[in-house]
Amino acid sequence: MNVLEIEPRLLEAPPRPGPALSGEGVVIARTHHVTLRTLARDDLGHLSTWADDPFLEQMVGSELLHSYRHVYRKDPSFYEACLYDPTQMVLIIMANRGWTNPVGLVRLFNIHLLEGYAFLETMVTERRALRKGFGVQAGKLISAYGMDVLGLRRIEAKVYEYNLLSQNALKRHGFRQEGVLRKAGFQAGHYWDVIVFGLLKEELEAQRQKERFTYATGDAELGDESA
Amino acid sequence: MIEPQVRGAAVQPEISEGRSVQPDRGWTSLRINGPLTASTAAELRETLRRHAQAGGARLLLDLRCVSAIDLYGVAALVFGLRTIEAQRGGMRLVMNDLVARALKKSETLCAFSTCRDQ
Repeated sequence: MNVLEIEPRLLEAPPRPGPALSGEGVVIARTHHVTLRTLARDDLGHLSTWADDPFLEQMVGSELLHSYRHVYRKDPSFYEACLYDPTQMVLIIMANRGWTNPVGLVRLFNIHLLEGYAFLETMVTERRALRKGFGVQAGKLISAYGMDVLGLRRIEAKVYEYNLLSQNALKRHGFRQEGVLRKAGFQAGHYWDVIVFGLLKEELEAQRQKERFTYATGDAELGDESA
Repeated sequence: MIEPQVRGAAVQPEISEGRSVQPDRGWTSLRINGPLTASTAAELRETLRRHAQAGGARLLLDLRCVSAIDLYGVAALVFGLRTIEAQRGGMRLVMNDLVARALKKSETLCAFSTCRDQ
């Protein structure tokens, strides 16, 4: 039997310099506008703030933030639970120009690698960053990464009927409305419809070609600026 | 980082997960030490791609010394399996409990032929 040995770099070697590492987080993918990196320990402070934000609760109703607040009771073990969960990728959205703090969070969850589908959740948490396209960019980027690297062929997203901002963002991103879950959401004492959106790999490919959307993974070079 | 190195028979494959595995001549073993995570999975992915390109590769991945694994690591293993099988090759795993738990949780364990650690 032939025998080879691989030792992943971070076992013995110091962290690589450059854009691959950002604080504790690892840069997963980036465009000229946004960078997506893994959760860092320092982000727990941000998560804590976001989990208490009634506006985010109303607009997104994130199960991730709900879990951090109510299941983990803001315990730091949440950090590793997210990091090593093989069914989800939780990424912090960093805006590249003129922003120092994270502007939001995007994640693929319930990832089924063999069947090739997952669910998308995007939150722009910084109010000043709303309506600047960061959410759309982050959604496009994580979707492209999910399809290119993870081998996904379908991504699904759900939005409350009153969250028109997110619905429009998903449509700009190439998602199509696939159905309505009638009175499936509960917010502020009322039941609300939940709109289901879906994106297939070929639809994202068409969108990427149309917009000349490019991105880089890790510390790879980015091409010329486009979408 | 990837050092070709002849080693003793560190892996003793056994029957596991319902499929009999008997790696012998013609099988190449890749031993992976340390974390298989967002920081390191790309390296494994590239290595598996290179092996697959040769066509008909038969790989035994020794994951017993993996110290951490996340979605990116699991995805690299699935990618390797698909790529190698598409080139008429085969890939089998020998793993520790940490890796087994991650593959079970991600519902990907059923896709792999596995060998029991001895």
